[in-house]
Amino acid sequence: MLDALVFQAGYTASVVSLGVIGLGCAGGILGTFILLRGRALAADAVAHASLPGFAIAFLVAALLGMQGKSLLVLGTGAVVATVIALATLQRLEATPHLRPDAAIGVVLAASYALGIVVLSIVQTLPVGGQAGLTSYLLGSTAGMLAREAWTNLGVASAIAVVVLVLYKEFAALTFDIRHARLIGLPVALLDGLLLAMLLVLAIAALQSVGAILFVALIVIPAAAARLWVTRLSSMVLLAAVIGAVGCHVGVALSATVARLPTGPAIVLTLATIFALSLLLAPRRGLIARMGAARRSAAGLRAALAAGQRTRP
Amino acid sequence: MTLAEFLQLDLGPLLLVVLAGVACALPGNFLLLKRASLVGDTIAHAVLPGIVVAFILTGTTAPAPIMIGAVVAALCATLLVNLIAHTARLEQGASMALVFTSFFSLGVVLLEVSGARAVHIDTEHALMGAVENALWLSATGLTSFVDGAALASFPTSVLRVAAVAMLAAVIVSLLFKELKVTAFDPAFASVAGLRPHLADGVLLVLAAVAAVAAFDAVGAILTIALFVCPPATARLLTDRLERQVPISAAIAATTGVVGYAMAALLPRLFGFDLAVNAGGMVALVSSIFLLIVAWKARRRAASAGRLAKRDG
Amino acid sequence: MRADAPAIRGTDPPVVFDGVTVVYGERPALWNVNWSAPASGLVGIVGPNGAGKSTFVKALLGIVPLFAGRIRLLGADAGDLTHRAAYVPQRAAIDWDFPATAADVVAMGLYRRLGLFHRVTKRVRCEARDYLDQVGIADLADLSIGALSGGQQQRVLIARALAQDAPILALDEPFIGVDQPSEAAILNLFQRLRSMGRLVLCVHHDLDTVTERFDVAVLLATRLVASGPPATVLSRDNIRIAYGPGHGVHELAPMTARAPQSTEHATSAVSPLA
Repeated sequence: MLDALVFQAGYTASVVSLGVIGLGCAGGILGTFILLRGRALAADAVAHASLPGFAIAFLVAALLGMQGKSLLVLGTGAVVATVIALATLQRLEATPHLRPDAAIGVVLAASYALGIVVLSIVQTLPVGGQAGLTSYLLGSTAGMLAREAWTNLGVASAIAVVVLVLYKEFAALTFDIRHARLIGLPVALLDGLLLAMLLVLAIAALQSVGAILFVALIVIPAAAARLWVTRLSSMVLLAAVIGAVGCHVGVALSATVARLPTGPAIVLTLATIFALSLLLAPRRGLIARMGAARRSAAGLRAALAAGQRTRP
Repeated sequence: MTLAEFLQLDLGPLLLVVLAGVACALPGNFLLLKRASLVGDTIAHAVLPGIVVAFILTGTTAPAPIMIGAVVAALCATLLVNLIAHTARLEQGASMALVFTSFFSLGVVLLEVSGARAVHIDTEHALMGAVENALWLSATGLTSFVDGAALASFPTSVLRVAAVAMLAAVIVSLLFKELKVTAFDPAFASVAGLRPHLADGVLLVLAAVAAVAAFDAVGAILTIALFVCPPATARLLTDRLERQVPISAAIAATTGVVGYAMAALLPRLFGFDLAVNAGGMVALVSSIFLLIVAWKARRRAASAGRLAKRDG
Repeated sequence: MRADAPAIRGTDPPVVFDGVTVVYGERPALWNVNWSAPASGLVGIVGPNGAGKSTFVKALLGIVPLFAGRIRLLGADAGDLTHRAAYVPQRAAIDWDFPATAADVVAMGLYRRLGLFHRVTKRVRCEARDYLDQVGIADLADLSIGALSGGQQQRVLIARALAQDAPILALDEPFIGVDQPSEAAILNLFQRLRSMGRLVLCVHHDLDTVTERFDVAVLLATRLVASGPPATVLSRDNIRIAYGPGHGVHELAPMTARAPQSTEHATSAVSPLA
């Protein structure tokens, strides 16, 4: 465990760990804007929706005799599937009597179901390389190659760079969309860019965190950071740090404990950080809030009593 | 395919998916109307640690402790969703994503670390169901239904799901008024002395128990399909709750049969050696059914809108 | 303290607010309200936006918890007897896409009488139709509630409250977004309820029509500003207290018909901590 934490567990293990840490950073940065924009469930939908795309791309590639696990093939499948899923979601939400929550539930379920069905077919095919496919559900860094880890790191850096370059614009978008539109920002384009980065990150994180738990990488670091700080820039920074720490500890844990999938280990680490923040954060934490509520109630009671005494 | 083969291999799994569908659809109607479909998703994920902890504590997979564990976990999860949404000022969706990924991760980690996976449940089971647990290998023909020895080995998972479906049907019909008025207007229900908290509690317990039933059939992640799709389809087919509830049960049963047939029977009939995941196929069929009905509803609404425009 | 709490007597005020304070988070919505209702008649509850009008009704019905004080309803603590008051929520608070007919919704008013486990029978449905008849829309009983107009929807909610058969009727803004025939039908019903000796409490936003519609006005601005005959309650001074010093009666009148006043003045003028 300690070896893994201080990058002494070998070259590949260290690079893999570094790649996942990068993803955690990017998740925190991107998650801050996704969360403030009220799009947490879109992250869940994107991650689920990419799954059948992955599976079908693998199936088609295998049947055509191509190398199924090539990231380009799988990525293309995931992008196509996500675009279809989001278009379906939009149509469902516009159907009379169907509420947004039901619509998103249906899209989640249908995507995942299709993914499972195709995966189960892939498993029975006499082609190699499919063993790793089930790990796309819960994540596994066990068989990850250094090359894949470097790709993760590249994706994470690219997302960080885009967010930093467009920081002002994204800040305006998440703070007040009407104002952003008023001052002439291309709101739809920026929203689309957020969604696109979300999709790229989801595809990159599919192997290490898994489709089911990806949303945690987006939501939890940002939500925890928000409990501690009020300024957007500090929130982005803190969320990136929390995401990185969560991923680092999670990967080390799963490398140490036999059969522990990486995704759940990362999520539980992040959840622990969040729980501590929820309890302890100054002003917004539960303990601080309970004290403040007690003081405020006492103040109100004193004012009430004073008012009643002076009543004629 | 002979009758004996059908009884041995297919009867149990078929009953499992049909009854689990009905058990989930009944409470699913009220979740849908309360705009709480994603609460169903949260509950479905959250029952996993409940099941595992109950197994670790009692060492058995007897229904009673498993159900109690699941209900307690579901209760904790829903309370936490509200607490976190309130304290951390998160929107409900983000709070749910946070809670269900954390609970599900906890379940997977406990499962892998404790050794519960060796016995009855494993992670793949949680991810995609395990209908193959419901085989009735001692069945030889119709006479097996009156043969005590053969009946003794009838799959218990099917009996458990049947009991849950029956319970859901009895409770929903006995408390129909209360569930309906609470979903429609909880403030009125409280003023009229109809105890909406009781109805909400019953609904939560029912959803948790149904989620355990669905766990065997489709796994934790696809349970959302059984909660949402049949009720949402039924809602599009009728404007009265008194009809929506039985229609949703009928749709759940039908999609169960069709889905199972497509997954297991058809490939075998046509001589393909494909093992298609049955739970995934059932969820897929019920989502496709909803998409078709929603598409028709949209077309109807659009043509009605055109008519209104022409007449106005 | 039990001496002043006898059993239900005809001469006691049916509703008594005693130092009632309701707090949302850290913000008081109602502050130290003392009030007694008349034995019967039509009571209009008025005040600027955020003055606690809806909270007043919800506290009475036991939907929101009291921070301090108590409410006596027909001689007993309100919490025990809330079903003695019928409730008509704001129309906007209801999900009109719910799969139910007008008669289904009215039948909900009869659920308590039916009791747990009992089903809604044909006779119950007939009775529901009678209540719809009282608000003049019996012919719409089998229509889906989503297909009704705003005024018709409001009348369905009122019919449901009538079905509760309670001595007190509390309504939250029943005249918002309501067509002329529905408004006439509701006013007509109010007159009938008054002649039957019932007490009707109605949250109302339109100061112009308070005098002609109600016997008693309750002017709120978090605190109780005044209560009594509408003409006296809505004096220039009282309105200035409630709506803030910037608003005279002459400029207030045309504005309140549409948009309620901004609350900043109101809350700063009567802030309980000021």
